[in-house]
Amino acid sequence: MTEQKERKRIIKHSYLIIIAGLVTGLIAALLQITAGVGPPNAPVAYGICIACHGRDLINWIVNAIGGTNLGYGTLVAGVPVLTVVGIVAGAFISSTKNKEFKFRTTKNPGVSFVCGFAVMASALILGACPLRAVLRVAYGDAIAVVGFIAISVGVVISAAVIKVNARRAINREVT
Amino acid sequence: MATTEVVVSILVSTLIGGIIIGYLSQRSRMCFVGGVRDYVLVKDTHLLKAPLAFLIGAVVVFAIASLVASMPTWPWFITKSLMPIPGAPLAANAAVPIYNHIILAIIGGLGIGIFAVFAGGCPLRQHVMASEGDKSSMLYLLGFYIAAVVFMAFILPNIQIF
Repeated sequence: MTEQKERKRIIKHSYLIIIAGLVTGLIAALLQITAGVGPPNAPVAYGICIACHGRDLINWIVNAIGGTNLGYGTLVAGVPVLTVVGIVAGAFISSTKNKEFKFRTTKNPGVSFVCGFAVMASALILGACPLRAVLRVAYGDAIAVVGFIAISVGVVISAAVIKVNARRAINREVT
Repeated sequence: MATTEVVVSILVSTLIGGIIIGYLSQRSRMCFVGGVRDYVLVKDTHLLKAPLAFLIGAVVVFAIASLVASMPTWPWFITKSLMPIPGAPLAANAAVPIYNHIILAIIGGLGIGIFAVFAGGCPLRQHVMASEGDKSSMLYLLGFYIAAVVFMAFILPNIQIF
């Protein structure tokens, strides 16, 4: 009985991730076609990009406060897109509604900070976060295919390092 | 110059789109680098379905739009051959040789892949985890946004080589 329930839960979860990916793709493309997050206000395939949209938002804030002139991706009368704010709000609504919101502390705060810094810098070099890399592939960009393969290779390298470290830790415990 | 209606439509639609994406990402634990990572580490394909479904959804919308309305640049590789879609601030000058764009894509991609796994997920997943109260993800976002300002203000003007 419990096994059947468990299997049902897994199948439901499997549908959920396909729906989530599909809806995100639909929204990303529709934002360009219907809402104006595309030419002539922004580059094509700009419907979703966590790094670029975050950059637009933070640079707009810094420009407004500090009077600086930092660069944008979207130039809609100097107004940034609010996707990132929406994602944080949506995830917060969801996590509080389902009672999953909980403050969790961190063991090594420096690593998280450095990783965030490095990921944003790399994303701006590529011109896409992982989501926009896939969106650019959907739009037919060959360079984005190279970019996504490079992301995957980076993940494989990192996963190999984690695997070696884990094995070493186990060996240390045994001996 | 954009009209007020365009500005309002962009602000409202991106906010609503973001809320839907954030809600679904929190429910499904969607992560775009997590799929490859889980497959390499434990041969689990569960998270790989998200980027695949994303790709299919976006392609379908673009294809339908190109049939019913004008999508002059889709598919990109037919109209613009191998040039990248603009958006990378370093490669703003599109007239440079193609291998420069490929090198930038490889450097950026490797950087994202390596550091995203050490952080525990792609930028989307980190935003969702920060909204769930994870302090390490909040620190990640702090570094993420500081990097955006530092990159555009100090790094970009000094390495505009292409």
